[in-house]
Amino acid sequence: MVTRGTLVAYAFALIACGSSSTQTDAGADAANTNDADVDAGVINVAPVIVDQGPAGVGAVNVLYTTITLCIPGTTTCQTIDHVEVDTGSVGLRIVSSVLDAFLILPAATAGSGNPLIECYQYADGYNWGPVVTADVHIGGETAASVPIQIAGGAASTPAPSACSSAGSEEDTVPTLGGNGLVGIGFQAADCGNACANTTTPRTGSYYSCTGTTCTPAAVPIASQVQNPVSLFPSDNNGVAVELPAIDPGGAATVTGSLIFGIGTASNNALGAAQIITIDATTGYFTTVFADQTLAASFIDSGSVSYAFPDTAIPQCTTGSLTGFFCPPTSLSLMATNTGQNHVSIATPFNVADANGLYGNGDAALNDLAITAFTPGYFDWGLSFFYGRTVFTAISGAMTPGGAGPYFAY
Amino acid sequence: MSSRRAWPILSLLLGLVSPRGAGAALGGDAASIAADSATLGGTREITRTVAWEVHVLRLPSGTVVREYVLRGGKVFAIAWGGPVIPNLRLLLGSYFEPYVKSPQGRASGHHLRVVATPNWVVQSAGHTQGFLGRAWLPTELPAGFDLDTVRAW
Repeated sequence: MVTRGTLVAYAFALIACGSSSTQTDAGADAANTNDADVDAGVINVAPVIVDQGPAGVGAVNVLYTTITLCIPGTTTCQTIDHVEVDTGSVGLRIVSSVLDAFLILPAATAGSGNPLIECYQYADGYNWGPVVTADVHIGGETAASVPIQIAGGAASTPAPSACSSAGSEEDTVPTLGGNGLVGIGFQAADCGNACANTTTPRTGSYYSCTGTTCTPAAVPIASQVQNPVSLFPSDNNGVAVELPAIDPGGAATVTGSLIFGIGTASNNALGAAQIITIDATTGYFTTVFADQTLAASFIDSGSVSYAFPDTAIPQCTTGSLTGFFCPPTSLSLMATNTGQNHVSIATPFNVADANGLYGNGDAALNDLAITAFTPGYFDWGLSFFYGRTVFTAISGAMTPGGAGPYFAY
Repeated sequence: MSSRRAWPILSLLLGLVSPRGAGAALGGDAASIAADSATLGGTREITRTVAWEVHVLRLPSGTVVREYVLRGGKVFAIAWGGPVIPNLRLLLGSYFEPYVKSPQGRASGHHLRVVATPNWVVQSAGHTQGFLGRAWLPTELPAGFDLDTVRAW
């Protein structure tokens, strides 16, 4: 459900905790805050939920939060629930059909002055729609004038072939699986230098469009669709996703916290978490599992399950579960994740019968795994997040554990 | 099929080169790889074994595409890896529409898409700036070919 919101709650929250949120050295001010104060004044937390998603989606292991969009500098706002939380992509994208007519967000233009329309790829498809600017509120945090994408908002301009050839269009609530998606991965902008190159801007990303004709457009990094976290005034160096442990059989729904900042407040200290640094371009680290060295591995809340290559574990025979693992008894397995910093984390995980797990009708499944169809990677999807706090540090941002990009848990 | 190409004239020329129709890379012939390379830009290197060739296309986007073709025969496998998913409509040809129209399996999320049929398989995975995938024709694989070598990352 999408509801029209007001700014009252946010304004109140910001007033209530303004003294701590506006500190320039946010890491130093919260050390003596007790739990009661955190509960009363904390602004760097957004509730998240794993449930079945918007009506008709029937989601499993999809993490959602609620976001409020405002016309920049105004109190004309809309609150949108069931926005997918994805640490494996970058940028906020809202499905055009859920936006209220009153929320007219200013459109970005390419250098040519024509509308700027983006193609954003996922492994399974793409979003196609204009770049607009909005003030973005998540939890108690606000990022002002953020370039975001309206997925499906350029219906009269067909996606260029270099875009539509990536997979299937995911510009509706059922195809995206949510009312929107917020990418809070390890980059600050969703493309980077390749799309800023004025000589040969990358095809398949940003386009200057007139009528139905689109040509690749160079977009300065700061004008690309942004990770909203990096634009918060503080708590902007990364995120922590914190979900409770659940029973092996799954849980109907799970609630947790999306915490902004790493080591910037009492609720987001690294503590005992170990850091594995990652490739600054791809985000990959190396997983060693069952004598396989998987050098293109990543942690990703936007993947529903573990995904790894294993020819020994029986796969499900049910058609809709093709590729998922269906071991007759649950397996306790071990892998080692190693960062570019040579830190290794021995990481136990369990795999259970996907057929049985799905049969429960639960939205949250912690022991769900699928075979990694392409060799060479281990995807630590949402199955991995239950019972942990998983940190994702943004590239180039300083944290008490060093500069991003890294994962820590 | 060649009718989907942006440049009908190029298709016509390819048709002359390959009377059976150059079609798309997967299931097409070596000439179709040259056509892919010309359309996608970048460079192409070829390594040869007794039975097959591997054409490595390094695209301007930074993405690498590897096409595996039987000598004198069909392209039987393709792999890709890099910051951008390459033009799968071009590379998969007649298999592209069935691929994108196939129902997703149970909730595989945005970082994995797999369609497997007896005659063709497409697997796409990865995340922002780090995509990888492959496609192949199970009935066309040469004897002794190791599918695990179909990778571009």
